[in-house]
Amino acid sequence: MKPISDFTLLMPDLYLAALAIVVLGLDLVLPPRWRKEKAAVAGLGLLLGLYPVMALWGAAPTAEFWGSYAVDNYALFFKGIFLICGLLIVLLSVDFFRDLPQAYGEYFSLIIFVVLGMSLLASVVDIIALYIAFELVSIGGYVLVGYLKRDARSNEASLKYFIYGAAASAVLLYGLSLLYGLGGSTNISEMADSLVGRGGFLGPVVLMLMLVGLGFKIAMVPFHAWAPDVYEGAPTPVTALLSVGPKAAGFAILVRLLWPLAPHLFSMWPALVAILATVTMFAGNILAIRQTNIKRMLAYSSIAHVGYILIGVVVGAGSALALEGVLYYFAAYLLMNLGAFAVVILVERNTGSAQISDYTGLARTAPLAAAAMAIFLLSLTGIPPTAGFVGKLLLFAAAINSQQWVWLAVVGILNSVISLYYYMNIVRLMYFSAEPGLTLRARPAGVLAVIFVTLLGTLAVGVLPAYWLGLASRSAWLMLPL
Amino acid sequence: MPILSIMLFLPVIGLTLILFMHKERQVNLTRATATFFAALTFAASLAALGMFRWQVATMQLQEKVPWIDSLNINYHLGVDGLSMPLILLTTLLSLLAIIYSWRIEERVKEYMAFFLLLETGMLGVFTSLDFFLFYIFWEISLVPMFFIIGIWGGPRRQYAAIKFFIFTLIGSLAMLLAILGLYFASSPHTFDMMALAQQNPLAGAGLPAALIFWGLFLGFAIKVPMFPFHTWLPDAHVEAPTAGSVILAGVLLKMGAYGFIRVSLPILPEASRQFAIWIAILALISIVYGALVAMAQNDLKKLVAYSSVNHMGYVMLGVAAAAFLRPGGDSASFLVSRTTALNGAVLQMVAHGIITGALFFLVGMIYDRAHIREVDGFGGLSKQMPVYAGITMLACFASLGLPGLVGFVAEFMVFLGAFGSFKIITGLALLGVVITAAYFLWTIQRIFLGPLNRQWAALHDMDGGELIALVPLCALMVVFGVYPRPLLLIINTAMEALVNHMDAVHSAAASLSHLL
Repeated sequence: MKPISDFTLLMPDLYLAALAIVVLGLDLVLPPRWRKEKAAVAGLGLLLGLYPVMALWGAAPTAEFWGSYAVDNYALFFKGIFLICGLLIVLLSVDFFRDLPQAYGEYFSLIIFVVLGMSLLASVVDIIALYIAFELVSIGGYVLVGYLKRDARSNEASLKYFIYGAAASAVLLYGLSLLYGLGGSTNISEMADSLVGRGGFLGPVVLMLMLVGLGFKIAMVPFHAWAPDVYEGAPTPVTALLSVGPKAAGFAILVRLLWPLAPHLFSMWPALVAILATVTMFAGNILAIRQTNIKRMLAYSSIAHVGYILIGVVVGAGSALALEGVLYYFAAYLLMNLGAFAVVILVERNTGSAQISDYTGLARTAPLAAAAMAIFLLSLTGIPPTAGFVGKLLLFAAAINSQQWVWLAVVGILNSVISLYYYMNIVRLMYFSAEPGLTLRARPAGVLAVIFVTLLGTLAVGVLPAYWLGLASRSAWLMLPL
Repeated sequence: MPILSIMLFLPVIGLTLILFMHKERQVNLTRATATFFAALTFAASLAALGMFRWQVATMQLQEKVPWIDSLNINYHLGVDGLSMPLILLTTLLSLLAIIYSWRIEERVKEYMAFFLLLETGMLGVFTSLDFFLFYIFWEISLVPMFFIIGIWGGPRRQYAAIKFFIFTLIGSLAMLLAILGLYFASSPHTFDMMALAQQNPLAGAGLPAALIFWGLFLGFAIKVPMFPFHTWLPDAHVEAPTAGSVILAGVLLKMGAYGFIRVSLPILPEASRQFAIWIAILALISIVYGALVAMAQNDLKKLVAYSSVNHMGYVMLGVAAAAFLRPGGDSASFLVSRTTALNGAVLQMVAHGIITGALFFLVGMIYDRAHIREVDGFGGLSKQMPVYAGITMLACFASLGLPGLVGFVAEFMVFLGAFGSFKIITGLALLGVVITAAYFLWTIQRIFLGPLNRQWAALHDMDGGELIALVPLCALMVVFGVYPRPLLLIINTAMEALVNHMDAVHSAAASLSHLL
């Protein structure tokens, strides 16, 4: 057994844990009216968190702490995504929770704890550590969803999320315990060796149970039923967080778990996941069409995006292109989806509701916000020259390259066409209406900053993909061998 | 001097300036800026023509800058005898459309911005030699047109805009998959069109080649549009504002035919040859069906829209004829007939752009005055509006293929060439010409001849701004009708090289099969 590892390798996560505690402590020291200062500490703290991540970037991948914690570019790439996601969510939240009487720091502390959980989830290669990180993300999420204590919908959403989530966690835990029974170890790479030829009849069951647990987290059909209600009821910045962060974290661990283990558990696993991906894409897109609430619509659209990314998981095992596609897609999705949510928050701030009809005529009265929204929606559809296009291109390219999964790419483009309909419906309302829409009087600086940054990012990642592609491919190369 | 890049991004510079203008107080400045940059772009395209050497068959004025190294994607531009005329057509029609659009009063800033973006998208399609770049411009040209139809269009504009977007997106995504298929079939992997044509990566590959061919086909055929993918066209045309219709018919439809000639023929010569007969049959249906449906229309805009289906059918017939090779027939005369068909097809693209552009302008002008477009509603207008009547008749005659005007030269060459490949189909396609002549003459009669409908006694004739938009087009119809030689020289060099390239691939494949 190796001696205990170098703690510097744990710096990104240790730093986050310390930051979360400091921000929590600020509530004790500082008076309630120092809201912005607390937010600033949280935001700057998350920004500074990028430094230890970058410091570790590019090193040879290792598994530390008795092989339970991977330090590789793959994990660091996701950590970067989570930090930026957390930072943007903080910016979106400052104004949103302006009326909250107290416990302001607590909210930001919870956000940082969730970021920490996701960050751990990107690194874990041991199923016990996996479960702990998974629960850290989940429990933080339950509280955040119900953070508007006086709002019945927020409470309902929280309860729903909790009940579904608890059940999913239990199922996952049961699956992991059976996995341990089969593999005789808690370490994923050790199990990958010991599981060979021992899947038996339990193998498919274990795989199913794990897919249920993780499928819940990423909102994969048929474990998606919670998402629309929770997305609608949760405070919008929290919805934005849930639509990006835990999904990315779920995928990070899904790839680490599935690629080495699934072949021994159930040889047909790619076909199974391919079917789930297909159903997820169609269900998400078709159900999104009928929505009248934009948060619900974005919830279904985020389900559809899970389907696209699952294409990469299916064709991926062993293909660098697919893994790059998944990573790139998350970078793109972070920008375009948070951008869309930022516009939603801006409009919601002025109308107090999140109806799609609120967007009618917005291009007349708020041309910049409408243009930004139009670009985010085009990017979500996958129209160049935006980030979403390159992401989809890479995933479809991986499918075509595999030859076996060409049909998944065909399903993907059919779904892109369906999604065009409901995304462009919003553009239609914003632009094609003859009457001017509502005037955006309140324009919180944090929200505008997020719109600006994500818009710039969506275009930059779309027009100059080489740099980001390089990051993604170095993450795929420098991944701990599965 | 990177003249192609300058030309390509001049409209973007104009667009950027316009974005900083005030949307109500600086309306005229906005219009003037848009016009100025469209004129500059036109000048740049003329400069490119000046630097272009028609005797050279290879790509000219090439620019190549690495863009995404890891995927071997380059910013690669170039022109040859196929793209040069289409570029000039694009810059000219865009300029005229923007001049004509000074009469747009509503949301001028956005309108001009979208038009300039559209121009860059279209020029990008005709100059890109890298598939990745090509696809990006292909889609960029889609988005502004969606807004132009949806914001400034007619009563059913929202429906038409979304339908247009959905149809063309289905096509372009199918094309995207085909492009990816080509990319992975090539080695080293490349998106470069020239390299792909040289590699011919799918030689002898039956099913993959067929799938990729039909994927590309869907993308291009929806854009052309060929029967049965044409249903978006009447809606989009009828609802689009006048200048939008002009660009749609004049340039955007050409992108589909351009794709067939630039991509399908050189990169998939065997699959093109194998399926040429099907394309010819669809082209025949487009020709006859388009003409018959046009005859049944009372709405002038719909009439011109369906006449586009008919005229683009001639283009596709020429393309199919060039791709086709009768078993055992590679005689020299056959080579000539196929080249002629292809020359005719490209000339028809230019001719249709000029003529239909003019026709849509003319329909828009009468609609601006009378607020109806029904053929039945008019009568005897030639006395009331002699200039308008004269120009409209000229454009109609050009469209129906009257000798001495550019449409005739193009159609004649298509038929002459296509007869070598498909005797029966070409014979039947001649029906289209007859029907076209019938409905255009009948339309002229109903609108301009007979007693004047009293209702229209107050209509005034064309004004200066309208003449500026139309006179260049009319002049081109006559000039190229009488003396098409300069245009044909440019086109012919490239098309001859293309037909030779296809035959070289075929004979290589044939000798390979002999060896085996």
